[in-house]
Amino acid sequence: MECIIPGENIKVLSRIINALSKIGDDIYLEAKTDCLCLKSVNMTTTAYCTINLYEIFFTTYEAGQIGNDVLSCRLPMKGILGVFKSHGHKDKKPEFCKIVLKQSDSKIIFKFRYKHDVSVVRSLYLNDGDIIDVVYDRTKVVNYIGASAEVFAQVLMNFQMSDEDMSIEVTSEKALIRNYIAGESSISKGIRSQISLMPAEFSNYRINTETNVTFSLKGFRAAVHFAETYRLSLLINFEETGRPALIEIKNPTFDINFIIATLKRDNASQSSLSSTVHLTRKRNATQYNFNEPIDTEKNDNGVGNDIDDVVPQSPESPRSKKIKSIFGRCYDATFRREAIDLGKVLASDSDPDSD
Amino acid sequence: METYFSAELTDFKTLYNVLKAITFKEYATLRPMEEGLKVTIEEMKCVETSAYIPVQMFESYYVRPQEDVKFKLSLKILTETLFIYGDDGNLSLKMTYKGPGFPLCLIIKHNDENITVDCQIYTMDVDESTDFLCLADECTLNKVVVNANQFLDILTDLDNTSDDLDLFLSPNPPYFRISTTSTMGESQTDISKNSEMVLLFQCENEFQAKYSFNYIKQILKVMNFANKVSISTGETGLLGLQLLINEDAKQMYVEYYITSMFEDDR
Repeated sequence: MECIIPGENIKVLSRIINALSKIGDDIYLEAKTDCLCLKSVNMTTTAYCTINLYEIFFTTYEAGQIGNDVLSCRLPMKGILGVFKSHGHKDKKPEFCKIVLKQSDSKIIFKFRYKHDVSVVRSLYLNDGDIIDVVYDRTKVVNYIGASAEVFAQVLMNFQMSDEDMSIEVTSEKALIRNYIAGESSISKGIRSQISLMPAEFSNYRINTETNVTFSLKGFRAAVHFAETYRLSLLINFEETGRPALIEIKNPTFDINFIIATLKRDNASQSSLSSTVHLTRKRNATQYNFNEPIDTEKNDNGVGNDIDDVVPQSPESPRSKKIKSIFGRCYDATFRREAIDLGKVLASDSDPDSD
Repeated sequence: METYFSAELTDFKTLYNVLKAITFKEYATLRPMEEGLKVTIEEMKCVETSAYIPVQMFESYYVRPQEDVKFKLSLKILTETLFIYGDDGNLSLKMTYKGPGFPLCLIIKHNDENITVDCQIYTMDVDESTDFLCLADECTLNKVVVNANQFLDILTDLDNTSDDLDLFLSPNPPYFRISTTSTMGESQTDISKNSEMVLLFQCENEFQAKYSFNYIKQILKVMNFANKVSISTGETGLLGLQLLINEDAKQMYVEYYITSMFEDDR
């Protein structure tokens, strides 16, 4: 594979790699005939991202395919981040970058050419490992919502940096986005935020089945941040609770497909959630006039544990229940006064000077 | 008794920045000479850093003639003292050294607030074994002068997990090559002699040597303040970097010498 990336696209690529670094520890590179494909998957395989850089992204692109084998390799994220770390800022923008990957070679070569007669050649050793591939069945997608990255960025601004997950609850009338706090112990410490968005705020809004999906914020933040830089829009495709969601970002020169696992809940907690949801929705409808063109509806301090609260408590995941039953003793108090007799000194301190 | 050395200067911010950036080790040797003050830090007999503050930088400057004045002190304490007022401007400094066995007296005056700080830093005698060879005379083989900013960019862009750095100079392409090798991969940076960042390129014979990247990294901090960097090499593989630091119309220099690593295939 041999390709040349023009100067202005090197920055795009470096941002793409930066976003990918939020997902996995390795980058998989696949040289397809019509596009260069970058992939990354996280350790627990709950997030998977493919990025296709089309031929027009490059000045020249040659896949150099031999037979039916697609040329592919696996690179350590740390190494490739180092190669692309600082290109694009300061006044030394590279004029072009040439990437060369040879069949059955142990390294990949990046050649940068700068305007003042300076060239940098970086070669990275490849990691062993097979190419991963995740098949996502697009025909099963029943719901999708799409909006510009700014809309999602505004939504994300309502969450704390410590929030790890968010859930989207959709009905045909509106979408409720809230942070998700796992476990029940968090009621006291967490800030619950809920943002209610009307279909009109989205560029695409199609809900066939009312559902609620919960997924990790880490990758989503990276995707939104990236899309925001280039004023692109995101399309979130999903089916139902527990089924993976697909986030798409499209541009004429590249597209990003980000598949993310959603949290699975046991039936009991799911049904209890839906009852709370119905309740709150009715309350909301009487309290706020949603016909007004308001940007976002925010309730930042809906902390509480009673069912009447505006923001429903995050349902407990079955995993935390399981953890508590297996590691039950870990949740017991470790200090028991009756086990220690504090009244009697059995042996005095050997060194009275030290404290 | 006549003092060995006394000097006065106003607005020593650049001096402070430079001294702070070269404090790799605690103790430094101060050597007031006719031409100016020289501050030297030496490490493991393979790296030597000196800052030159020429006479022109000082308001007044006196060194006892026909006397080799030199003394050692804690550079860390000296820089801390110079920063005693924080970043506030309009300061003036007076240094006096009465002679061997006496401390270096500093009087730092804040002219706006009319506060004076009087401080004494204990000095030590310089070991006789530390002779000051003129390293500049050794580095005569090649000379390349480059723009400091762009050169710093290149050096910071190198793979910093690498242990050592290979320098290659040649009168023919690739002219000036810096290579690194690490567990991740290799990197190679070529600077053409026709590049606009190269101000002077003198190289008659090919030169190649390897240096510890950790030692090279030390100099990057002070390179931030520099305008030009002169790179010269010596017969034995000694690498000399001379940094020119411009402050208004006045100039000061930092010299950095580093010995090459031994290579088996030589």
